[in-house]
Amino acid sequence: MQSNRSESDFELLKRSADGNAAAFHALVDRHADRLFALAVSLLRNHADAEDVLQETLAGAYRGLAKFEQRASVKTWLTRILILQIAKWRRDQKSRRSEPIDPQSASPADHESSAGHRMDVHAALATLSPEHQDVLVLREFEQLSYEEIADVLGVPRGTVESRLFRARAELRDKLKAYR
Amino acid sequence: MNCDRTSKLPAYHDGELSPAEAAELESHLSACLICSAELADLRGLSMQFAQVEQPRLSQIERHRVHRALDAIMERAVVRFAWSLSGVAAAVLIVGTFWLSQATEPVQAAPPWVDAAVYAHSLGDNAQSPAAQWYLADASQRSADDTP
Repeated sequence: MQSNRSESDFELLKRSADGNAAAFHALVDRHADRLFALAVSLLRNHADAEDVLQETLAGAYRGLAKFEQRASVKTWLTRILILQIAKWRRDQKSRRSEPIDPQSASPADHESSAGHRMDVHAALATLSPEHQDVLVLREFEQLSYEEIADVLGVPRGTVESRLFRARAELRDKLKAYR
Repeated sequence: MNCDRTSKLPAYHDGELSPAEAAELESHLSACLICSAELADLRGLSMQFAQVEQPRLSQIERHRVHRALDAIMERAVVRFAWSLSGVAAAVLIVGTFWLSQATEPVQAAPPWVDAAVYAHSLGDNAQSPAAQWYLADASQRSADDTP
C-alpha cells in the first residue's frame, strides 16, 4: 500500500469518505503501528491488540462520514481505539478470563526474569484501567491534556487528577520492586 | 516536608504551563529542594516509559489488517447495492399501486345519454312505437339512477 506523504490526514480521510479505498489504506498505514503499540500497552497481548486494531479501523471506516474536523485524525482514531479497548475489557470481565500471551506476559512473569525488577508495562498492568489509559496516552502517545480529555471524553481537570494519582501509584509500585 | 508549588510540577513537566508560569516555576525550582526532587522523580518515570520499545505490526499482521479492511469495504459496497435495489423495488411497487389506483374504470354512460344517441340515430323514425317504448324505458332508468 502506498501512502502519499504529501497528503495530510484530513485529505486522505476526505478521499476515503468519497469511497477511495486506497486513500483509507494509506491512512491506515500511517497510523496502524502507533495504534497497535497503544493497544499492546493496554492489553498486553499481541493477538488481542490486532483484533482491537481491526475493530478500530472498521469502526473508523464506518464512521468516516461522521468525522468532524474538530479533532485531529490521530485523536479521532485514538478515541475509537480506547472505546474498543473499553469494550474488550468489558467482554473479558464478563468471560472472567485473564490475558495470556507468550510475547507479553502478566505482571508476575515480568517480575521474575530479572530478580524482583518490575518493568513499566508490568507495573502498568496493576493499575486501574482509567489510570492505565491516562498514563499511556501521556507517556507513550505524548498527547496534551486537552487531547487526552478529548480521547477519554472527560474534563481536562479529571485528566490532571487521574494523571497525578496514576503517576504516584506507578512510582510506588516501581520503587517497591527496586 | 512539603511545598505548595509541587502541584504545578506535573503540568510543568508535561509542557502544559504558559511561558510566564513556567519561568516563574523555574526560578522557584533553583531554590526548592522538594520541588527539584519531585521533578526529578517525574522525569525518571517518563524516562522509563521512553525506554520501552514500542511494538510494531509485523508484515503478516499488517497484511491481515489490510485484508480485513478490504473485506469490510466489500461488504459495505454489497450492502449499499442491496439497499439501492431495495429502494428501486419499493419505488416500483408503490408506482404500480399508484398507477392502478389513479386509472379509474370507464363508467357506463347514463341511460339518458343512450336514449339521446338512439333518438338521434332514428331520425324520422323517432315517432315509431318501438322508438317511443325505448325512450320511455330509458327515461325511467335515468329517473331510477338519480339519487
